[in-house]
Amino acid sequence: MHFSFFHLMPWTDLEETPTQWPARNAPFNGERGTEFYETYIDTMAKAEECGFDWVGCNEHHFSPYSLMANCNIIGGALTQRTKSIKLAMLGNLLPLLNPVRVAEEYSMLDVMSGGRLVAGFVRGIPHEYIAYNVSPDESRGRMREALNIILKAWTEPEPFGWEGEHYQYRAISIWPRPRQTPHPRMLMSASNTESAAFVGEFPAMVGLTLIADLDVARGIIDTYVESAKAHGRDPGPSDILIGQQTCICETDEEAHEHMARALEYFHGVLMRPQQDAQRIVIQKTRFFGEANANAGEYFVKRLQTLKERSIKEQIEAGTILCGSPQSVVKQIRRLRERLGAGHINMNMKLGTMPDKVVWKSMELFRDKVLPEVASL
Amino acid sequence: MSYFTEGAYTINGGPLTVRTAGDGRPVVHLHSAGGPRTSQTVKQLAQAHAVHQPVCPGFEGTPRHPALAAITDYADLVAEYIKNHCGGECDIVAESFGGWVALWLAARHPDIVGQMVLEAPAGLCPPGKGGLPADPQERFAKLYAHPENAPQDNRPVEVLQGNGAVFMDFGGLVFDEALAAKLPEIRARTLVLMGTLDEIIPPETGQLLKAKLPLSHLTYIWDAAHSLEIDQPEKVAAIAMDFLDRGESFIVRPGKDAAE
Repeated sequence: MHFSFFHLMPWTDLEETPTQWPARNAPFNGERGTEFYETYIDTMAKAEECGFDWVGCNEHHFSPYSLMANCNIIGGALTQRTKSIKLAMLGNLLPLLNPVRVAEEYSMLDVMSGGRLVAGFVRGIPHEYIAYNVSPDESRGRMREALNIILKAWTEPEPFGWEGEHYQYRAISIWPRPRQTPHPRMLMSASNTESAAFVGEFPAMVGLTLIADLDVARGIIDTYVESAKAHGRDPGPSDILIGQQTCICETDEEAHEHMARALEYFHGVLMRPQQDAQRIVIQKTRFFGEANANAGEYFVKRLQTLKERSIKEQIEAGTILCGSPQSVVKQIRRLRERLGAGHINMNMKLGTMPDKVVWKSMELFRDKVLPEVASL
Repeated sequence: MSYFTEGAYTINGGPLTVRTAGDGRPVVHLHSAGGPRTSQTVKQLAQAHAVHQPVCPGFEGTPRHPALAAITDYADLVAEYIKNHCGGECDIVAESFGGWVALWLAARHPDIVGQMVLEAPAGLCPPGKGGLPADPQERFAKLYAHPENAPQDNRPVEVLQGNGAVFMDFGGLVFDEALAAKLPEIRARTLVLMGTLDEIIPPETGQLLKAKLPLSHLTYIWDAAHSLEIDQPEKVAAIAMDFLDRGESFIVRPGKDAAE
């Protein structure tokens, strides 16, 4: 199996809970911001020495939930701090961005890192569309068209123009091209069967996160595999990535205690401001499409369900990895068996989880978990 | 009532039928192997240009021309028409088979060709790539990404078969090595349009043209198969007319008060 270390880069100094989205930024402090970035980048660089195959980050806007408005900037820093670990941008919120710019930045990262980029493309969570004033109704159409532009930008031997529904360019010829040929490995996320079928259309691996039910997750994966086969590909376990909020301590009790405290802040403070914005986008737009109206309801219900569950219930549901190294090994084996997943993406800096606990988790992963599960 | 006015001419010792519409700087529209059509793109072109649409002899049940044995002969025939009826020089918009003719026209008669828009041009289809299915249903499916846009075709089956026979007499979908060798000599600024869903003419054809034509632009039309003027008529008309109007500066997005 393969493993990623993922960082959300949260702002953890918030004393009052924001009640509205976007969260007001008056509490932001520049000096503390610099300290956060230094600590977080140090932590991400440490993932290489802890045996992780990838180190990953993603993009969010207007929220203390994440200080990563452009994960490619963090990726650029990591090209200079790491030597062999793959750099997974998981990913750029493609429908909100200029696809040519994304193709260029990803190519730069791939070349600067010596061909270590994993290129993630995500549609994003619904409220992000408010941040960049893009209609959520257009999200799927923009995503499909932008992906095709990027694949052409990476692979076309001659300059070309594009006349599309959402994008028009008269001449594209990016410098640099990616180092990996024909292009970097691609990853796209899926939270329902409709998006899983969409991912299968492209030469991409699929990523699932915040799993609320293993059977539902299995259905999403099966749909992805079926769609990929219909498009001439035969994905294996290494094409399936499962995101897991993770805490590994010497004992189950210690890990459960840390995880409970961290998730309380994560859900109660960091996730709080976007709840209303997400509800509005889901209810008032066609973000999930007319043919897939249940997906919006499922999206909201899933987050509420996760918030209400105990640590043990979340472990049972396959949402988190939490406990002693021995327990986490068992939990990983179960994910492998139930979902056929060959890649687990571990998010250890959850809410106010202390950074020294995160580092200890990483070391326990390296010393006691990885040796047991690497060959799965 | 027909959109075009049809004229019969005798050129190079044989007949040539030409349909005309509109007024303005002349544009010769060279049709595909399916025969001439009055697409929305052609109608928009005719709002700003005098559009001349020659009917390749033998197409649409017209008589064959005794001097036409090769694609270059048809290019010479069109050249004579341009010299005598288009003021001696004009721009070209051409679909598929017509694109093959246009490239020879520009190679053999550089002084009478201004700028060219080639939509999924035939004549340079690499072996083993693309292809035109023989089965009518399969062919129809590959021609259109939006078959709902396709005009109802009331032409007799004999006419359609005749069109196909003339195209095959010229060689069908081939890679014309002699034409490929001439590409670097073509002086006309050329915009090549390719459908992102075209499975008849592969992207390699567009890439070859971009690489070999000294003054060229390649643009992909999203959500279009081979019949670009049917699948995306407004987009094709807009970019073709902008290119014909602004030439090399069409790559710059104009401001609202762009200089004339």
